[in-house]
Amino acid sequence: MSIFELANPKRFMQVSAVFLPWIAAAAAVTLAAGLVLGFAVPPDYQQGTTVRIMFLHVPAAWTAMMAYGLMAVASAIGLINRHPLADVAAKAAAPLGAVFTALGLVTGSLWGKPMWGAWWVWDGRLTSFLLLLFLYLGYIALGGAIEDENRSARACAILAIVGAVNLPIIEFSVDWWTTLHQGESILRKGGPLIAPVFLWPLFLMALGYTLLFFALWLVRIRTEIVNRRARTLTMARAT
Amino acid sequence: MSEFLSQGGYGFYVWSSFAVSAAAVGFMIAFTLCAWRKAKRALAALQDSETNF
Repeated sequence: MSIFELANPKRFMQVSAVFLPWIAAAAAVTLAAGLVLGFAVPPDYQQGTTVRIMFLHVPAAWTAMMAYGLMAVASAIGLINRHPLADVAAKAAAPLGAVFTALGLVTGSLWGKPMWGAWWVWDGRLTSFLLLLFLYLGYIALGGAIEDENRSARACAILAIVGAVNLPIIEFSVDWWTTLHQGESILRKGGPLIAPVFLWPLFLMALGYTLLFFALWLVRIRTEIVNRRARTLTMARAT
Repeated sequence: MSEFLSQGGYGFYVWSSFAVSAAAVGFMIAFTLCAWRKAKRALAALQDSETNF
């Protein structure tokens, strides 16, 4: 079965209904395990117990960026193949991505204050990540401002695709500019710089947030399909 | 217990992070499920009224 067979809304409703409970359950289990392991870790030799904020901050930031990437890909498919389900998927991802981005910013602030002595600094990583939040909010506002479904989807898709330039900027900002933010210490050449005892809860929380995102994303796509079905019914009756 | 709560003196930052994260995750789940139920109800009402003409 190709992924494009799923692009049929009816087929999508059937298949997503089967997978959804499993994804949601897996999200709950991994998040629970991540939390338990996260509180079991010893304090870091430099950062003390604030290392636990990492288990929330890093997964939220990763999920926010992944969500934007998925939104941009769905937008491109919607723009090129003119497939309505791709547009629905892109729009459904935005509010979730915005919340994960806000979470990344807030938990980062709460980590920065005790470790750097500052809630916020205008450096490359923090500023580009704040831009990610504004991209999400701009995308949501733009979608709400244009009433025609197809025109709205097209305008949003272009914004999403152009805004994707920000993703590599976020990723490499810590290499390009001087910053208080620590450099890439996990997905780096030569292996992670973090001890395994911290890596496990981090990995589980990241997997948990990712699964949670996918579960909520599917529900939001399903919701929009139902809403559109209702709209079509209403319009058919009005004529 | 109080040692666990104080988190080595960083209690405010650690617990705030967890509280904010739990609230945001709870909000996302509640909001998403609410919208889903509302959509299902609206569609069901439409379909009902169609067959009850």
